[in-house]
Amino acid sequence: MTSERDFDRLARAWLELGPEEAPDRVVAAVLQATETTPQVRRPIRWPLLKDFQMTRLPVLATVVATLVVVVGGLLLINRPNGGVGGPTASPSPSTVPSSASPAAAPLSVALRPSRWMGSERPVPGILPKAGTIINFTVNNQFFITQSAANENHYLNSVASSVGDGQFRLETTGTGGGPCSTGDIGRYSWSVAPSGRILTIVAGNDDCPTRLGAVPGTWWLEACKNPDNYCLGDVDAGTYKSQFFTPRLDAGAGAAWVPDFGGLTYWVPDGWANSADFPERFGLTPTADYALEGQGGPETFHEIGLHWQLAANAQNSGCTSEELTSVPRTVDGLVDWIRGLPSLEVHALNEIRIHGLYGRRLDVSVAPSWTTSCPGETQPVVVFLTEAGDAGETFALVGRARARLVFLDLGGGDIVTISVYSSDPARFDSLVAEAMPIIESFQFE
Amino acid sequence: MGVTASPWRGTEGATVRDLVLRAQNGDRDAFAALVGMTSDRMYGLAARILRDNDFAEDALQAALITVWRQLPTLRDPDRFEAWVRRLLVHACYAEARRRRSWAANVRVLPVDGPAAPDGLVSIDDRDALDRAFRRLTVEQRAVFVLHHHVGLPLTEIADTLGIPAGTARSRLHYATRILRAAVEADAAPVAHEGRMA
Repeated sequence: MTSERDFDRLARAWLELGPEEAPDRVVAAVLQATETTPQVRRPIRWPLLKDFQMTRLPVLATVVATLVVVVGGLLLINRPNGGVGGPTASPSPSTVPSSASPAAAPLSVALRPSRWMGSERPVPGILPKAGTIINFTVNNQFFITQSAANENHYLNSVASSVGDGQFRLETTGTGGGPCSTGDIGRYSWSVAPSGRILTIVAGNDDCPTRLGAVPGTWWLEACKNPDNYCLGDVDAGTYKSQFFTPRLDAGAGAAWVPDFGGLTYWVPDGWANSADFPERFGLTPTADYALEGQGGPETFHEIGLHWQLAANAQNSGCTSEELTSVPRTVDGLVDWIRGLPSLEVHALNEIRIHGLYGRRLDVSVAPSWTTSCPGETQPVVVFLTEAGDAGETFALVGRARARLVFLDLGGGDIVTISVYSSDPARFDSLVAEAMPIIESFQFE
Repeated sequence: MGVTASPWRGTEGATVRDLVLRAQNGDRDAFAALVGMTSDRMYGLAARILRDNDFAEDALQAALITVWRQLPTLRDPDRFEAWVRRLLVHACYAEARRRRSWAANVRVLPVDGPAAPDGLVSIDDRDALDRAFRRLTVEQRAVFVLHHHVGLPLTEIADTLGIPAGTARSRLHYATRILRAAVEADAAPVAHEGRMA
């Protein structure tokens, strides 16, 4: 019999056998291919994670290790058999699922990753305005985290199923926070037919803090980007952002702190929340989001929101260089864009969204414009950038068109909303779908 | 461990992050430096997953060209190596699918690398492992190689491959069971047919 340790050593030694140097011809072929292979460009370069107080990346491994899966069937949702739940912007404990209700999701022993985003909860250790996440693990562990600090677990409990539509939480020995070891709580739960909205209703709990934190509406976090905790596909309804902070001017040295609900938005059926970073928020048609691979899509259709964009110098050689002579105001930016010979501007109009003044315009590369950027074969106009030295640029490439909305949030804060499709033939229909969503935006 | 951690500083003092940022803006020299820093490790990984040097070359080439094309979409330059590894494993999957008959035609990986460090792998063990490895799916192979050769923990493998940790665990478990059984069967005494007189 081979011991586990012996086998591991044997396997490693066996795997040592093999080539260790890539053939030069392969490397040469790759480098030669780059001469004729253009790089994928997005209208908005993906933002780099900045040195904020967020800990999304460092905790990724922890999240992957712990997230994961639901309580002995508890939230383990056979999707076609849902319970209640339309999305709401705040916890909605009004609907008490009946354990006998045929609409309630049946318990299942199937396992699936389960992280659910919710609003602020009064848990000691979690910042007052931060979003929260409840987590159910494969080992029947339950805990709550602040959405930007997933390494800190609160209200650690063991979860178990108690009949249809109910679960039980028992505080474990460590990490229970203000709860005492052995405190027991019972809750009812139901899941929307899509499996994306979890409603938890209070039953009773020996621990008042847990009783105040667990009930309410929770949205499944199913972001395809492992670097982000966006929601992914969402049901029709109204939602809040976790991270996006449109008023923050990082270029002025402001530091990010959690701000759940910086954006409130409504979407109809068929949309996904594809990005939720402090500096950028994205909504993508579900069908397009489904095509996104781990390396990113080659096509791109999105409503994007961006904080504090500024004019980019036109002699910068496609790199980010803020043109500080252009006022960072709605009129300042729009008038400057209208004056660029590299761009054509159409459909310029004033717009008001929940009383906020803004202007919208459609832009495309001027037919006479031929200047390109390294790695590109088509004309490119890099015309907006994040304020400061963040280095993220906004560009139009080839025949692409974009709708831009510059909105004055007051206090000198400008948010830029973009509607962009890499397929020019889809642009008009995407704009038509996007505008009702954009008009639903509310900013805190 | 077969693969060491990536050097954080590249050629001429440029950090990997610097090189990635430059390459994202179309700088081919920076990309060439990145290729020089990663291609050996990635080729070794592909060769071990696919167990065929020609297939591995094709997978590496496809992956690195994808890296070049998609580089502007990489959101965090600090994750460059993990991102490249992910694209490479997916290129291995594609290569395996493209060569539908590869499982039947696969050749034993030539031993042109270093000998096993302490002579641990006998010829019999090697043959048994080679044969058993061919019976695994490319997905199971990838997890096994990432764990035992690259040294990644399961959570990181799951992250790399974009699969749940439980799936990574089950793939590793299955692969280990098959390979271990093969080694043990090979070591077991040959049973004689017929009855003792």
